[in-house]
Amino acid sequence: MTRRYRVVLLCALLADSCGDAPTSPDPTTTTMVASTVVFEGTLEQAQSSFYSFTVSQAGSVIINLASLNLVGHRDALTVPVRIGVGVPKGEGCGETASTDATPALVSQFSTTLETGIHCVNIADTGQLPGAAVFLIRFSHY
Amino acid sequence: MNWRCLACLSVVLAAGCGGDTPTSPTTDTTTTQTAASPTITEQFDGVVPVGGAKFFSFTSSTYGTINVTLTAVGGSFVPSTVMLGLGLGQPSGTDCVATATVNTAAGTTAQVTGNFDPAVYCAKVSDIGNLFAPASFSVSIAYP
Repeated sequence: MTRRYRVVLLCALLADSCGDAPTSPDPTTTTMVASTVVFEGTLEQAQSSFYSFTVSQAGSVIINLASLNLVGHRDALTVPVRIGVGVPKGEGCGETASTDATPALVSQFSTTLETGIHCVNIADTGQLPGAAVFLIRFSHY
Repeated sequence: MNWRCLACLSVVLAAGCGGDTPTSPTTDTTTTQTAASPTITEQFDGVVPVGGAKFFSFTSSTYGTINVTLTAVGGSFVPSTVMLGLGLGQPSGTDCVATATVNTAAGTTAQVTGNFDPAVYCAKVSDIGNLFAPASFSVSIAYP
């Protein structure tokens, strides 16, 4: 094939590729994956502690008080503490829903949240015998 | 026509490709949001420990101006003119992540101000290394 024929063939191929109609993009499905957060800290007697997080899509939040031990002790405390959710307010978490719970391997509390900044709160109900180390695991969208 | 001319022709043909459908011009509308003035004022009083910080959360319900004023600082071994960190941001985790901060002494005019969308915010007071003893403070937070 001569050089001239090659160029002519190239032109023909380029001209043939013109004028294609645009195609619609394939429909896509967006699946939100829940974020899981671990909130650890020390809860003093008659006090509360909170953790703020951002909900990017309305959905459920599921909370599990996984452990609660007196500081310096291994044994799990069996006294209930209050866990809940709300919106950060003042120097704490303005709870909108809560329950009393003892440590467990399953979630103890669930509710639905709108988008925005929210908080998970843990508070002594008056039964803590001393400062306690806690671990809360929660998931949200 | 030699092969160079044909090469030029192929470039022109390639540039003409695309098959795009012409679109109508769009009207560019610019809307200016008016910032609402503060209607709610809250007082945040506390004690900031040496090397520590305190924060206070609040919810602004509409786009508008938020003013944060460190109005007083005091305490034993704490001069009233000492400079503290003053910030405005959003609660995250166990902290307030400040996006606007200043190092300031107490005063009567807002040290941190700006226009913000409706959301949850926090005002934060922190020791910037000047304290030798815990300092009591008063902060005024005004928001719409």
